[in-house]
Amino acid sequence: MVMASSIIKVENLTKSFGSVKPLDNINFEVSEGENLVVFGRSGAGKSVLLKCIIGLLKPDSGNIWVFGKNIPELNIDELNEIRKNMGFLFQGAALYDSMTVKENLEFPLTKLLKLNQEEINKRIIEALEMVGLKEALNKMPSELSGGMKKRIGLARSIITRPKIILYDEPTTGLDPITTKEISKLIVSLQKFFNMTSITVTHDILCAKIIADRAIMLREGKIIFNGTIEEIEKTENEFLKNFFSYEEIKN
Amino acid sequence: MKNRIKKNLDILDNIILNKIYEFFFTIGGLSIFVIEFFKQVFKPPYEVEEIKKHMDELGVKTLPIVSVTGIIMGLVLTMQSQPVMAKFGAEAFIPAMVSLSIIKELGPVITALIFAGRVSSGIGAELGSMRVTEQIDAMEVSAVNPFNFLVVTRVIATTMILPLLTIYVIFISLFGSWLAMNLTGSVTVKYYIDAVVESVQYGDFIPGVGKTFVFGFIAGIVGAYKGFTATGGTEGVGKASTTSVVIASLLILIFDMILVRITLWLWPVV
Repeated sequence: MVMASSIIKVENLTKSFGSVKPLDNINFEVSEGENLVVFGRSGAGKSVLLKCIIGLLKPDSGNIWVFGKNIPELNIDELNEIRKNMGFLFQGAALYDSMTVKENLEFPLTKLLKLNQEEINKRIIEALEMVGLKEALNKMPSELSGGMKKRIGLARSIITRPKIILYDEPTTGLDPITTKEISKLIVSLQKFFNMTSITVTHDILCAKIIADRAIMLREGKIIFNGTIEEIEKTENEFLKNFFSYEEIKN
Repeated sequence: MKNRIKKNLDILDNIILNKIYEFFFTIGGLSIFVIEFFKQVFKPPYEVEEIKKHMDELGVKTLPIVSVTGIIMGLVLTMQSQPVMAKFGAEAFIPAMVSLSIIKELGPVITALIFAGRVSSGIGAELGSMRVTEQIDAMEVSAVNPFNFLVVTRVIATTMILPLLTIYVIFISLFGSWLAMNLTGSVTVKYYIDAVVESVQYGDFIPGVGKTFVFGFIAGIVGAYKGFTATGGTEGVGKASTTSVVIASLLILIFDMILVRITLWLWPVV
C-alpha cells in the first residue's frame, strides 16, 4: 500500500492519573488514508490515547500533531476547527438519550456545520442508508439493540464526513456475526469517504478486517508496531499469549 | 479495652474529617462552577430554544406537586390559626395574617424546597447519566460547548421559572385559605379578597418573589454541578441525584436567612 504523508503524529506523549501512568513517552505516526489498530489489555491506556488525540484529555507532556496543529497547545476555538474534520465513535455509542435517532444525527450537522434543513435531511437519510437502518429514523436510543446503537453511533460520527475517525472499541459486546458486519461497514465507509482511522480494540477478528497496521500498548509503552500478519508470526510471548485462544484454554 | 476505644475514636475521627473534607470540596467546586456559569452565560451561541424547552418541561412537570402543596399550605395554616385567633376575637385578621405569611415567607420557601426536590435531583440524574455514558464527551467532540448547552440553559430556565411558580402557589394558597375559612363560616370571596388587598401592599411581593430568583438559581446550579461532575457509573448518578437535593435545600434555607436579613436591613419597615 502506498502511504501519503502523516496526518497524525504523536511525539513523546505522557499521561498519568495520580500514580498510574497509562501512557509513558509514546511515539507513532498515522499516514493519510491508513487504518491503524491499537491493541492492549483493559486499562492499558488505549481510550486515553484516543481522548488525548481529540483533545478531551490534556496530556502531561508531549505533542500530538493533527493536520499540522499541535492539539495540546490549541485553544477551544482552534480545537473545534480541527474537530470539524474528526469523528469519534464512543465505546457505548454515546447516543443522546433524550433525542430520537434523527435528532442525534441532526445535532452535529446543525451545531458543527450549520447546514440548511434540506441538506441536513439529505445527509441523515444517506447516513442511515449506509448503516442499513433507515427504518430507525424516529426511534429513541432506548428502543435500539446494542448493534443498532453502534451503527447509529457510526452514522453520527461519519455524517459530517470527517477526514479522520477514531473508533473506541467499535465491536465490544457484540456477537461475532455483528462484529464482522460492523467491521466490514467501517472499512466500506472509510473507502467511500477516504478517511484515516485509529481503532482501539481487543477484537482480533475486527482488527483483521480493518487494520493496515497495528500497535500494541503495554504498561504505557508501545511494545509492537507492525502488520497483523507480523503479529501472527511473532515470537514475543506476551503477544502470542494475547492473541492465542489455545493459551486462554490452557 | 483502651486500644479498642482508641481505634473506634480514630475511625470516628476519620469519618468526621472525611465529611468535613467532602463539604469543603463541594463548596469549593460549586463556587468554581458558579464562576464558570457567569463566564459562559454571556457567550454566544444563545440557546434560546433550549431554555424555552427546559422552562416548559420544568414548569409543567412541577405544576401538579406545587398546586397540591400550595392549596394544603393555605388550608392548614388557616385551620391552625382559626381557634387561636377566635380566642382573641381576631378572626377577621386571619386573611391578613395568612396572606402576609404566605407572600413573604412560606410561599417562596416551600415552593423552592419542593422545586429543589423535584428539579435539582432531575437535573443531577440527567446530567450525571449523560456524563457516565460519555454523552457529554460526544457533545464536546461535536464542537458544542456542553457547559453552555446543558448547564447554562437549565440554570437560566430554573431561575426564570421558580418566581412564576411561586406567584402561582401564593394565589392557590390564598384560595386554600379562603376554602378553610368557608368550612367553618360563610366567608364570601369578595370579603376575603378585600381583606387581603387591604393588608397586603405591592411592596410585600417584591422581597418574597425576588428571592425566588436566587432559590431557582441554587436549585439549577447545584443539580447541574453534581450531575456534570458525576463519576462512577450508575452509583455515581444516584449519588449526584440525592446529594443535589440535600445541598440545594440546605443552601436555599441558608440564603433565605441571609436575604431576609438583608431585606430587613434595607427596608426596616417592610
